Amino acid sequence: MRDAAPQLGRGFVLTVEIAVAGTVGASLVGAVGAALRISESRTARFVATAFTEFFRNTPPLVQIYFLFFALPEIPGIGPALRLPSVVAATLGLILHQGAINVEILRAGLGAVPAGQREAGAALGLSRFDQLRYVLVPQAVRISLPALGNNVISLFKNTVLVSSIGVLDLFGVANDVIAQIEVSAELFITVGIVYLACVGLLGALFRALEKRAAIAR
Amino acid sequence: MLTLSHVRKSFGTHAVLKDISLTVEAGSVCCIIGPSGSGKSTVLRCINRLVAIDSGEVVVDGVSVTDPSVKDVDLRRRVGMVFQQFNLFPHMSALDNVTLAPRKVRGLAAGDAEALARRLLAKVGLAEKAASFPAQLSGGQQQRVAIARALAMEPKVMLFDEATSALDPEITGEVLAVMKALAAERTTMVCVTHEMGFAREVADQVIFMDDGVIVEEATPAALFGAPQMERTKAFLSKVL
Amino acid sequence: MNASFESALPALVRGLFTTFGVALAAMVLAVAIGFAAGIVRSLVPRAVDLPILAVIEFARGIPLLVLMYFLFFGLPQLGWRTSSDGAAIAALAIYAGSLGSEIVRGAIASIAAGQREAAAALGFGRLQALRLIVLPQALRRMLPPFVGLFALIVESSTLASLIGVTELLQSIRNNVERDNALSLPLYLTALAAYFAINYPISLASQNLEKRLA
Repeated sequence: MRDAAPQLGRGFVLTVEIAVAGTVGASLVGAVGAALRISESRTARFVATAFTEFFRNTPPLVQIYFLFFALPEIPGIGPALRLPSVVAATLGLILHQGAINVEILRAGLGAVPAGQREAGAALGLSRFDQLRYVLVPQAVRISLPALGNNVISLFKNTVLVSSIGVLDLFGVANDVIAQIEVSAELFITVGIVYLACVGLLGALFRALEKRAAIAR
Repeated sequence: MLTLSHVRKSFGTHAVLKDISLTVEAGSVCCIIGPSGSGKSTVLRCINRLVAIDSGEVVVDGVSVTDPSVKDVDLRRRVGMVFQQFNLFPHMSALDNVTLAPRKVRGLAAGDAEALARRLLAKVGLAEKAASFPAQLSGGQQQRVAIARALAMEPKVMLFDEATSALDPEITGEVLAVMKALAAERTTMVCVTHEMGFAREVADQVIFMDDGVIVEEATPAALFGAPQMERTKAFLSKVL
Repeated sequence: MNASFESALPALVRGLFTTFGVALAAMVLAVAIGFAAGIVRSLVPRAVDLPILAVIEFARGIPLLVLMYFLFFGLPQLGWRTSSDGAAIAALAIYAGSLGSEIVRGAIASIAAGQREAAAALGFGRLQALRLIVLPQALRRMLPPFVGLFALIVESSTLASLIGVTELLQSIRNNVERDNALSLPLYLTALAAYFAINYPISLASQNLEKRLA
């Protein structure tokens, strides 16, 4: 099992890369989606709601499979949509956790006192600037615990990428087990690594929440 | 400077403003008094289009509020508003609260905006609190920052919506002092207020509103000294 | 192509039943575990609580898939054989049970301290107070998050396909393997099916939240 360490190390790096890319992507999706969901345009609201409810309520594993296996089969444009497994998997995570972020931020925006929007509007700030400088920063602070949980969920869900052959930490672990009989120990070890990372993320977010409280 | 003509506004079936007409001369102070629910705050919000009126005309500094081709931003650069609940942005320091709109709406450079902000914070007596966050300031201090924030846009008219109602009685003085100083500088002000002393001392005209209409309008001496209408007398006897 | 899609349907329906079977079994166990752990945590002193908390954080912290694989592939190495269904249900139950314990504990804690004080003043023992006064009120607050938990279990049941359980997703994959061209309609069907299951559950949970909170 010691010989497998470099492989496992590379797998871990890939896990972290996917987690970071996924978190950044999901944050963008969340911010844009939440802004659209409270837009004055009915079309924008409808599209954003449909997107959010669909990707929030369907399993990320199925979304990943769809992006990887089904997209290329679309008549006509299919072949152009043949995504590399890493891309398909990360995209699936971004869409699913991003949709969850939209819902979190929407609730957060609703919790910002109405007077804040009034004050921003009275100063002449455009709707976009109101969101950017006044409303979203407060919504994020309010939603920090839920957003943190979502980041942790995304990190744990990176294991799903192994199902389409991506060699993240879990994928490598399975490969190694296929070659040598060390499943119990390896799973426990890998489990501890994930646990440690989750613990770190949790501590990080608790610290952020403390800082956000002072600023409020 | 500011004219409302036959303004009507209903929220659903509830008629909040029923034919309001008033004029405020440049450089003068107009105080609006009356019981809660009389529509006073709605009048203010019609001036800067936070509320859209159903019918009538509102003209501020030559700009028509009801004209759809007039953009919100052009209107709101001319009108500054101070709220009862202060509504300071809690995640920004006092300085950032004041510089935000000048930078984003007026397009000032960061350096110019900061200089302007510091000057205004000094004017309201809070120069040393520039780096403080709203949570670290008392109610009176927060409201003074809010006044500085509104002044930073260099508006032609300042609207005060019960600016001291949410403050402890001992603290209202510091905010009223700032408002009196502004009045002395010939700022055009429209104040919805419960502070009769302030109205008597500073206003050029006092308007008494009740149930969506202007019941009586006169100079402070006339309205407080010799009210004409029964409703005015009844209200004043309760609050004075 | 249409003929193959239709011929796949019986297998998909069987898969759907398996999904529900696994999800329901896991849910029942999760509720049991959640209540047991949640109530115990609400009653015991800190020292006893800490190991329970450790187990719960462990179950919440490792990815569900790792837990499933460990139960199915890892345990046999230590001498314990399990069926794929069994391992899937067990893993889901452990994971959801830890979340459930937090729901129960949180709901109990949210019942104002005043209630507990009043009960104590009237002479109720802690267990009695819990059973007769706090729990009935807490149950109402637990309902929306537990409904949401069921949706989470259904969603997570897809992971069971990776250890060979022939639930809905695996049935789809089996049919896709036979004919690649079917992947688009079949995966769309999968997404639609899971959406049709989880969206109403999610709405019900939000509805309950509004009415009971």
